[in-house]
This record gives sequence, structure tokens and C-alpha cells, in this order.
Amino acid sequence: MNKDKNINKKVLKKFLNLMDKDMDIKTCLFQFSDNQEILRQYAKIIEGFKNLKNIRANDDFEEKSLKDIYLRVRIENIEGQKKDFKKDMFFIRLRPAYLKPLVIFLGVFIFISFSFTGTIYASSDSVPGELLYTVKRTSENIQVALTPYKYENTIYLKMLNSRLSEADVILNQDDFADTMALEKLVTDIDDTYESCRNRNYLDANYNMQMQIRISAVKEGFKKRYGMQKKNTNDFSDQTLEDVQDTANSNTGTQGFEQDNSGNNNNSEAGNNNSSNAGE
Amino acid sequence: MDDIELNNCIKSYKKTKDNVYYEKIYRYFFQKIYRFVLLNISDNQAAEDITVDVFYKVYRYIIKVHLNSASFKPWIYKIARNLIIDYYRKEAKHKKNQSLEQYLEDKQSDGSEDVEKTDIFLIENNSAENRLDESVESEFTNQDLLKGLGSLPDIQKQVIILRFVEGLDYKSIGLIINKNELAVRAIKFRAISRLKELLNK
Repeated sequence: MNKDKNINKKVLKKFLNLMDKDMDIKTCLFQFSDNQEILRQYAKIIEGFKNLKNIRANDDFEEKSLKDIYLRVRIENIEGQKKDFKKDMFFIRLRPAYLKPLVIFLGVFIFISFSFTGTIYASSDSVPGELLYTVKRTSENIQVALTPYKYENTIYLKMLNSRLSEADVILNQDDFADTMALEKLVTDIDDTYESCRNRNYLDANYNMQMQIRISAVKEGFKKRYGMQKKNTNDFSDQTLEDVQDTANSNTGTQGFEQDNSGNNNNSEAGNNNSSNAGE
Repeated sequence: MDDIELNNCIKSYKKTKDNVYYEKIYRYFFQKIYRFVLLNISDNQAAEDITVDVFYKVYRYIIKVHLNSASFKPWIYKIARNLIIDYYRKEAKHKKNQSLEQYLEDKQSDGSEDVEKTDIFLIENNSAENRLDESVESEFTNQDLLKGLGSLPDIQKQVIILRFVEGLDYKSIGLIINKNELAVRAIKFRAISRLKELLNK
């Protein structure tokens, strides 16, 4: 029984394949003489379905539905235009085409800003000879350029303190060997001090403190590195006590008498400085 | 309309957006799609609505989709099939928790009524137009066939309609129902065997 069924299955498949090739039914059936009766029934079913092709909609409906489609499209277009108009009004020409580059630009801008701020923050503790020192100096120059003249005194005094602190840090380091950077630092200290003094940012007390600090730094550098740099504000030839005495005597704040018994050159230099400080 | 003409119509419509070309395509496919939908859902009113929806979608998306005559037929039948599935889902929801199969079973029990509805649209064939020769003259009426078709699972029903009523090739049918050619042949074989059993009863 099973065997018959299997044979029928194979035969049926073969028969259906022949039917697929649009072969004449009689010819198809002729090839399967043993199973003609069963296969004829299949052929009848298939041919019966082909008759269903005659199902048709009314012609009126065909025309009516075409008009419906056009009407729907028109309504949708009008609604679409309304929506687009509302969208335009809401975003005020901020269309997605512009939105993407704008978001990218903002992202890049924020990233760069954060990186830049971070670098500046990191460079605040740098000393001459380090990579970030250039960043520190550049940021200071920008700060000076952007600050109104009225408030520049704070920046300049901060810069002078910063230079002196850097010098202190270098003096505390045992392995600092970049003499070029050191010379540059000394020049910077002098230049900044000069700028502060010329602009009257230093009162007498503060001037004296600065002079003491500058001469201490230079003395330290001289002892350690044997630097011979000289200029108008060079206090390296004076001892720390000389500078202190001279400054005090000129300003009279401490009530010390002027001491000319020491080195004449030194006292002259001290007078120059103290008179400048008095300005 | 042959394939070349259909291809030209699609190209011209995309190029010019002239409704004349759309109407040509519409008139060529309208009866086919209506027939396909009606045989699937056996509800004239719903079939009309779905047919209109199919051609509305065609109008909307024909420009956006890259199509030629070979891919257009599967595409339009696929739209129809998807809308039929949507219709079944809605109906199933409407009948609350009733599953699709139960729903179909219900339909089968009311089958005679549906068949009568569908049969209204059948035009009686003249003997001259009848392609059946005497030796294989159909002993099954259209009603029998529709009843048998209604009792088949959806996928089998669709394959039978697409293959024997619409005359599509297996590749196109595969594209419509998302199966490969061999699977379509297997489905067709199972459907024919089942139909024979049902009709002999």
C-alpha cells in the first residue's frame, strides 16, 4: 500500500511538472497510462482553477477606484504641504541637511575647547625647558592681550610671581641642566619686573619684596650655574642684605640709615632701583 | 500588455510622472489584483478596499523603487499579499482572542455563503471559450474549487492562486511569499494533494 502511494507521489510530481510546461493534457495523460484515471482528476482540478481567471470586478468600480486614488493622492499632497510648512516654521530653516554638519561642528568645537582648556590647566605647573611651558607662556600672552588696560596690573604681577615661583622650583630641583632656558627665564623675570615698574604696578613695599626675591633667585642661579648675565635690573652683583638695606633706606619704611660704607657700585645700583621703586 | 511594453510604461512614468502611463499599468493589473485579493479573502467589499489600497501604494512608491517588468509583478502582488495579511490581523483582532486559524475555520463553516458571494463575479463560460477538452471536462464546479481553496492554509492557497489562476512562474511566487523556488514547488504539490482529498470527499 505504502509502495503504491510512493509511486503515485513520484508519478504525480512528474505529471505536475509536465503540466507546468503547458503540455497538452491528453499528451500528458498518455505518458502515464497506468495512473491515467487518478491523474485526470488532478488535471481537472488544475484546469478548474484556470477557469477562475474569469472573476472580474465591475468596470464602474475600476473607474471609480482610479478616481479615488487620484483624490487620495491630492488630499495627501495638500496635507503634506501643510505639515512641511509647519515643520519649516518650527525649525526656522534649520533643515536636517544643515543640522548634521552643525552637530559635527559643535562636537568638534566642544572637543577642541575641552582639550585646549585641559592643556592650559596642565601647563600651569610647568617650568622652563618643559613642553607645556610654551603653552603656559602663550596663554599668558593671550590673557594680557585680551585683558583691558585697567586690569592689566593683576596679570603682570601674577606673571612676575609665576616667573619667580618657576625659578624657585628650578632651584629646588637637583638635576636641572637646561642653561639656555634658565637664561631665558632670568631675562623674562627682568622684563616682567621692568614692565611692572614702568607701569607703576609695584608700591614701595612690594617693590622691595620683589627685588629681594629677584636677587635671591639670581644669587641662587649664580651659585649653582655660574651665570654671568647682566642688565639694568641685574641684582646679582649685590648681596641679599645689600638690596634689603638699600631698599629700606630709600623708602624709609624701616627707619634704617643709608649705608654708604660698602661697595659704591652696589649702592649706586641700589639707589637707582629704589628711586625707580619710589615712582 | 507584454513585458517590454510594461517596462516602457514604468520607465516613462518614472521619467515624466504622466498619469497616462500609470493608468496603463493600472488597467493591466487591476482585474488580476482584484481577483487575487477576492480569492484570498472571499469578501467583496474588503477585496475592493484592499485593491484600491494596493494601487494607491503603487502610485505612491513606484517612483521610489527600482523596478523593471520582471520585478514589478512580484512587487505588486507582494503589496496585495501584505495588505491581505493586515486585513486578517485586523479581523482577528476584531474577533478578539480568536486565532487566525479559528477564524478561517469559522469561515469554512460559512463557506457556502462566501462561495455564493464570490460566484456572483464569475462569468459563465461559453463552450467555445472553455479550454477543457472533453476528456478532462471539469467535474468540479467553481463552487467546489472555491470551497476547497478556502479550506487550505493561507500559504498553500496563495501559491495555488498565483500559480494556476494568475499564471506566475515559481521564481516570482517565491519572491512574493519569501520562499525559494523548490519550497514553492513543494507547497504547490502539498496543496494539490490536499485539494484532491478534499474534493473527493
